[in-house]
Amino acid sequence: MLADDIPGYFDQYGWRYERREPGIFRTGFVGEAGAWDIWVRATSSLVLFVISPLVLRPEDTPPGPLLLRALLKANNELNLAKLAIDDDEDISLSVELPADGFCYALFADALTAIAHYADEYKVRLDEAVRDDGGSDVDRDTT
Amino acid sequence: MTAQAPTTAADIAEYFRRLGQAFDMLDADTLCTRMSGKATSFIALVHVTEHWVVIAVEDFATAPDDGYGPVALRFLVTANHRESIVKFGLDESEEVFVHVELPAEGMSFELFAAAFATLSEVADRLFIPLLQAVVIDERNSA
Repeated sequence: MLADDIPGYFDQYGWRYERREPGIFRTGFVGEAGAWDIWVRATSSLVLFVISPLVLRPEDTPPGPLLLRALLKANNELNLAKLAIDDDEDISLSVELPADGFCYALFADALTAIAHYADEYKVRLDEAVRDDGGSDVDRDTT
Repeated sequence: MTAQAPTTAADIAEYFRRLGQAFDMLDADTLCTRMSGKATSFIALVHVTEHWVVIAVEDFATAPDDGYGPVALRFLVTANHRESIVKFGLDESEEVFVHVELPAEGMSFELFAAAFATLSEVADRLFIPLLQAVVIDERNSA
């Protein structure tokens, strides 16, 4: 079972984690731009790494066009990862990899990528939220 | 664990032959093929790097003269959450692209075939709804 390999991958990577369910793990990190939880979910077909919300935005307004455009433009710059708006209207950053062939090297690539991009894109997306008319909600998202 | 050899363009060519999918080599690392669906057909590129295999539909839809409006942008951003593996974004020319990015290491024919089929299915399924979103934006801005 792939999920049972994940704890060993976390240990090898050197990050602490919490196993919330058999196939769901939570870890976190503090970057230069903020602090985030990362959820790792292992299924029979995929391994998903998700940060949501990546950036806080007003709950009472839908995502504005500047933010939507910024997310889609950023997706052209991201390797392996993607930005989206999820069902809660939160900004999510995710990495999805096939379970078939999944190994520690890919686990490390995914964690490194999602942490790097979260830190790199937070300020830009914060600005897009503000420019759309949202209030400044600049605080940690942990 | 023994490291697996990264996938090469020659491997992808062999995968296309097994799928019965006609293709052209654009350069040493890039293959080109046509995806035909119910709604339309697309040109897909497969670009192979040292670490990644990217299956891409560039210019997924022609951008409106004044760019995509909020309904279309929201449709694309939320599609990134709904659709596994597949990533939508805007390129430098404001055209929509659809990508699947896979690790070059550990690739198999089954994995490539599944990813190719997913990209083809999602692109075909979401093409008309994207055009409808564009029309709604045009009406809203008229």
